[in-house]
Amino acid sequence: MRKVLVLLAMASILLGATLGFAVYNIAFIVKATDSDFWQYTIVGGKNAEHDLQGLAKVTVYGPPSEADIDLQVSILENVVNTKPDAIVISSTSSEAPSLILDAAYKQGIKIVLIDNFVYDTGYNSFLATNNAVGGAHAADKLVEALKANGTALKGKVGLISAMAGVQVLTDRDAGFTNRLKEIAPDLQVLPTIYTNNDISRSANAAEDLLIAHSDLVGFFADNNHTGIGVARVIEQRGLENKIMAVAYDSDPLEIEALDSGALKALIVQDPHGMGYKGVMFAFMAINGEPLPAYLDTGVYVITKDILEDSMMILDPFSRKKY
Amino acid sequence: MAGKRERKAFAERNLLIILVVMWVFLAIATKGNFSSWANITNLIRQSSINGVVAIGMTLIIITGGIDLSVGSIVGLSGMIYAIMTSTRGDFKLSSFWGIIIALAVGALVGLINAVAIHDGKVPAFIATLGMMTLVRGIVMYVSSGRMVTGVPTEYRQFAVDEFLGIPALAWTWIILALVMIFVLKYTKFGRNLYAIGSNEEAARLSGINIRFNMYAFYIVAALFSGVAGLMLGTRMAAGVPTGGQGYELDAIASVVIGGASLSGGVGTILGTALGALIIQTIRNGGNLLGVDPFIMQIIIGAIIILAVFFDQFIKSRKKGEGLKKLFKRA
Repeated sequence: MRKVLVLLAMASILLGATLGFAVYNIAFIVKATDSDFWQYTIVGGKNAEHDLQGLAKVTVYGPPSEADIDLQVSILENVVNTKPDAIVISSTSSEAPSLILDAAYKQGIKIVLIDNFVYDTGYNSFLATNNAVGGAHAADKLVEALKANGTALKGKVGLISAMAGVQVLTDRDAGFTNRLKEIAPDLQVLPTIYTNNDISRSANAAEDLLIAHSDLVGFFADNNHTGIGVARVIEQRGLENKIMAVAYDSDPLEIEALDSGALKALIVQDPHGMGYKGVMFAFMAINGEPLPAYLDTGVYVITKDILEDSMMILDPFSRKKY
Repeated sequence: MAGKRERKAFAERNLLIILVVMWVFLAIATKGNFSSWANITNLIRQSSINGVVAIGMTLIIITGGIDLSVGSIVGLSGMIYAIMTSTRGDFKLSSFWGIIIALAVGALVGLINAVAIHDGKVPAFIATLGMMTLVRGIVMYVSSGRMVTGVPTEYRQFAVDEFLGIPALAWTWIILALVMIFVLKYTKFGRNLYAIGSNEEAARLSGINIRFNMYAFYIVAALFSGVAGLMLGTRMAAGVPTGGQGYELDAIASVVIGGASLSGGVGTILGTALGALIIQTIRNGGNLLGVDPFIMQIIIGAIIILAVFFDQFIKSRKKGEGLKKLFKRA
């Protein structure tokens, strides 16, 4: 009998909590559901929901693939029709959703943009990785690795890029090149080689540069596939102590390469933080808190000696609280 | 028939001349870097994966068809192998069974292509375009869009192995190409291929079983893509969901530069191999010289068109037609 009373009391408290306090609806729209990166942002968003302890409800939406710009826009239209209190969106297109987002903003829906900016719309805050800063970190780590190896800071450095004309990659490459020029002016960055995001072609490019330049001392690879290609060549030829390589992103093969010494550092974005902060910012906006127009969500620099402590960064799934 | 054979020899001789001129130029321009043994072995190894895909593509183009699904089959076979053998996976099969299953799955895709094209009368371009998307979808689905690691060591080792100073990957290509040169020249399979590609109706009337042969061509072509997928897998040491994406374009370019005709009946394995070498020579040479990557892309595109143009030009001259007539016809 007492147990029943306790249960009834608990139920009424829960009911009271639900009725008494407003639960804010926050829509969380990702670019694509098929990629690890966006799954990580979702973990961040859902963790934030967990930490808000019932004050907000986060609903996740997104097209299966990043190529589905139209689908994402129509998802956004449907979401706006449900009149959520806030929308956290990583838009694939910087222009396609402008009108809908702006209309939503004018209706009083709080808008938090993550990862990709959208032009011509009102918004409360924009959170993204400053990729130029990440590229600069890569240059720092490359020089550090060269010094640690006792290699003189002169000669050539190969830059392998996954694709031309992608802004985030261009930013990474420019950040790397500019910083390297500053801290090691005698290191010459070779013309960028684009490899269509193909591991095999990235390995080919690394092989070719090694043949062409006997004074080559290092590589920067601007994403995971190029990083793996470069790491393969270094591994297969046992060049770990001759050629220093630094790469962007993380995946199982890159982590393996970091562990084996083929890569000296990984520059990793913080998708979990982006999702978490996105939801928290939305919550703050709903409550009228002032927000910065732009927040750099930062990168992690991971080297072999901190690899073991970095697993929560490399695998945000392990941070699931829900 | 004699004219065609002459033309083939002609195309191959010209390609060889182009290749030698390029090599001599690059050897001088790179001060010997290009012609170093290390780079020659790089070049052949780098050409080998596309080279093997292109062997299969040659068969299909000789039938007068096209196969846009090869890149996806490359991805599929590499992924199936990785899933079957991964020490972190559910199956943990040996390399042998991994290879058998990967190739069988690839061959099945070829069979479906053939049925759709021959029995379903779906144009090859459309059927294989659909299959390209469908198979890539399967690759994504079975891998959840993530890399599959933990492949056997001997598999990874194959990408590094050498025999007589030549990489194992290069040997794979060379041996497969030699076998197919022989098969196309001296076997019924080869004769049927050219007969069906030149004139399907005539081939049918002369008693060739078109259905059986078409099935065989598409299955064999898919098997080559499957082998290429395994070769790529050894190089990446994992199953990668996007592996092989876009490989159909390099394969088609190699075949076309190699002198095959998209209207069918014409094409050789040797020509295709030279075509694959020419494409990779431009990439490799461009990297060695530090040529602007966008300029390199322009050059590769131009060479595809020029190769076909010269081929047509020589053909029309052999027939006693002038350049004028060539333009008129085009």
